[in-house]
Amino acid sequence: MTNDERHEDQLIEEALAGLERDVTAPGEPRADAPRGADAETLVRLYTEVLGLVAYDAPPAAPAPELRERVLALVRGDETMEVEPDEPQAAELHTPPVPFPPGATLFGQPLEPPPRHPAAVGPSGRPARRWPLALAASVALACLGLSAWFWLGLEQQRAEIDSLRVQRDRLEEQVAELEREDGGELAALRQRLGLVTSPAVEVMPLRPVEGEAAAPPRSRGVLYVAADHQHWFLSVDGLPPAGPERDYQLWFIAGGKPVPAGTFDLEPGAPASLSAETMPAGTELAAITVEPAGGVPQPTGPMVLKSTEPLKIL
Amino acid sequence: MAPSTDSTPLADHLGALGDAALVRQVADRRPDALGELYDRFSPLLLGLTVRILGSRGEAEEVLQDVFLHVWNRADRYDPSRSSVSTWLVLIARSRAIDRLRSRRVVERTLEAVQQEAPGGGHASPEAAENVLIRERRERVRSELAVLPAEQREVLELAFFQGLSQSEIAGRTGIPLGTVKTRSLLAMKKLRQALRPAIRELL
Repeated sequence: MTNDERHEDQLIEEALAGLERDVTAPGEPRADAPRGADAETLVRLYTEVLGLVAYDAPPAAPAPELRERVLALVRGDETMEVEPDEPQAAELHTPPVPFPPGATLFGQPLEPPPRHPAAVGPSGRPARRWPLALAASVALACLGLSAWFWLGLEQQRAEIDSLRVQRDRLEEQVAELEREDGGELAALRQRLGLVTSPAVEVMPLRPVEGEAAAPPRSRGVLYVAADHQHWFLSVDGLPPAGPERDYQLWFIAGGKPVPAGTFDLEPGAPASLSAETMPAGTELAAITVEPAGGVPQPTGPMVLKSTEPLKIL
Repeated sequence: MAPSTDSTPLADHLGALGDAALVRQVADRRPDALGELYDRFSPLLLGLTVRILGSRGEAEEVLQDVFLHVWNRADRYDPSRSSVSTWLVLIARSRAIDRLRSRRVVERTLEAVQQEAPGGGHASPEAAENVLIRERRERVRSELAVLPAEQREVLELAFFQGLSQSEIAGRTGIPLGTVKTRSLLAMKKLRQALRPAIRELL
């Protein structure tokens, strides 16, 4: 098998894996990005192949009311109720028959209907058909109850549909917020990924003894990724650096301090700093108090320093 | 095609739009555009969901869910990633497979598929289908029919039943490597055979 064939096989696998992805989710960067347009085109072609496989299923015409229900929902008519079918004419045209004296339905007396010639027997006396009338009434009552339950069910379905629409809208809003705050969110995710990575190296920073500017309970932790490039510093317990002052982080590489960034703290709040580069050969880290904005070489008192050297790769 | 109740000039205009342009109209919150999209694709998507779920009732619920989802997410359609047809197919498939998995009764579903013919109870689903889609379907079916049975089986298990390659190997008793090889071969053959249909979608 040639490299090209192997490459194509990988792209087919990627298209197949796409079956498990949420196709309405925002585009994700490829794991092996960047790559050529040819690869993107091939993945696209194989995705279309998969889309065409669906055409193997025989088509099915949806019930006509489904289209109206969908459109009613999107038009905001979320309480649309589908009226039950009209009863058949024959059901409505039950011939009037006399009820027995005192017969009731749901506590209401059943009034005898006016006599109809058809209800009169050959003898001229009223036909004794009240059992049939009672059965018809019970049947109508059952029909009414069924319709009532059916309407209730339809209302619940409409509510469920409405809730689904609301859920989708909320998901959309969340996605929009994520898009708006995408940079910050991505940075947070990156930091989270760094500090929770099993390969991360943790370098504690402790107060420098005898240094008045370093409260005994202050501390810092420097998380260094396995690539020794990405790092994240978390500092807690230091007071604000003071007017026109900042804290400055230094990496010590080859015995020389290299400035790595400045930060300040709100009273009682932690601070953090991160970047994607670290000088080669960094062994130690330290934090000093410097003029606001930082300086090229340390001048101020050292407040925190690492207690153990970083392993050099 | 299902008769549209939107017989306004705008609806007529929508009928002339390409699929991607239609999705943009849906993204602009035009219900009649969603209606047109529904008319074009609902027979295809319902056929797909019935095939996956084996139950018309559930398939119609999924179909409704799909179009409500499309209504809310049309702005996320990315024409550089897939055609509208494939986008809709993948959404519908994903929803139906989710439901199928939650039921965990694949065997019963297979029986139901055999008992309940897709489209049953509704006359002439083909007649309701867009002409272009019908032609595409005929082409796809004829190409799938000439695919070796073992390759077709692997592809169908993955697509219509949502099985992973390991699950296919477990169910069929075929080694995983063979399942992968058959999938790859099937995909490559279909890509060659379906070139005109793919070109039409792009």
